[in-house]
Amino acid sequence: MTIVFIAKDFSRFSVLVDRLKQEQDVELVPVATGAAGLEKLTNKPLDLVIVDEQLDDMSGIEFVKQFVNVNPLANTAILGSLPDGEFHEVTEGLGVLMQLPPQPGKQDAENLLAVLAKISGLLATPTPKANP
Amino acid sequence: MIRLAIPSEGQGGLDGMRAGHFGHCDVFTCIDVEDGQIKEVSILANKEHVQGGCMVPVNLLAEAGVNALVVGGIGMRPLMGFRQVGIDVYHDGVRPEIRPVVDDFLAGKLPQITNDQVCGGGGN
Repeated sequence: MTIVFIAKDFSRFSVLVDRLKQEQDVELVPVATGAAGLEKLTNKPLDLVIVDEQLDDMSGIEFVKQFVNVNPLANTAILGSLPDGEFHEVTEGLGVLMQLPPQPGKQDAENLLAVLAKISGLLATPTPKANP
Repeated sequence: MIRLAIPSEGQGGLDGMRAGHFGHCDVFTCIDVEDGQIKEVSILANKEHVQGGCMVPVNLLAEAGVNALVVGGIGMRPLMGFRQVGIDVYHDGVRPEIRPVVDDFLAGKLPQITNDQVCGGGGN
């Protein structure tokens, strides 16, 4: 499983990245702009993109709005601090796994891995035969 | 052959009711169409809905050989996912019954959903 982390600076994310690296292939993509990140990730086979709250040219939420058009099969998570209701409202339809806090910790990594494992399990479950 | 899927409540079937949110539906009513005629109707159980798990139903329907879907609403990510796996997504946001929507599909009267008709902030 490949996880890509889009941000300008990864210093706030060392705990999260270290924990994810114990389980998954984690690629850190240092980009200043969302446009650069979108160019790098268009149609790239990957399982999860984690994007920072703010890039130079767009927010993490705006990045995901554009990202789903170029790579809808990849899961996403966004760093941020919006109240739950507001986060749900602004990301509805985008299929974002979760919002991570601006400085994510080990438990956030565990929560993220648990959701990924759940979805992977559902995707791997054989399709039941359609019954008449 | 076209295999059309309709997100459905309960046990589904042509005389059943549509589900408003495809990701949360109980089953998919699948209608096989050849030469404009219904050849077979089958029922496909949905899988558990998980926040962010938009690709679960996309994968489910693709593996079941579905190539057309009618929704009342859909988010941008699952819409793009369905398109990527070759499933055409049609829109009827009004009628709750399955049969009249299928009849309109067979008559070529249902439009494909457009990007500006997607639900939510991202355009579920």
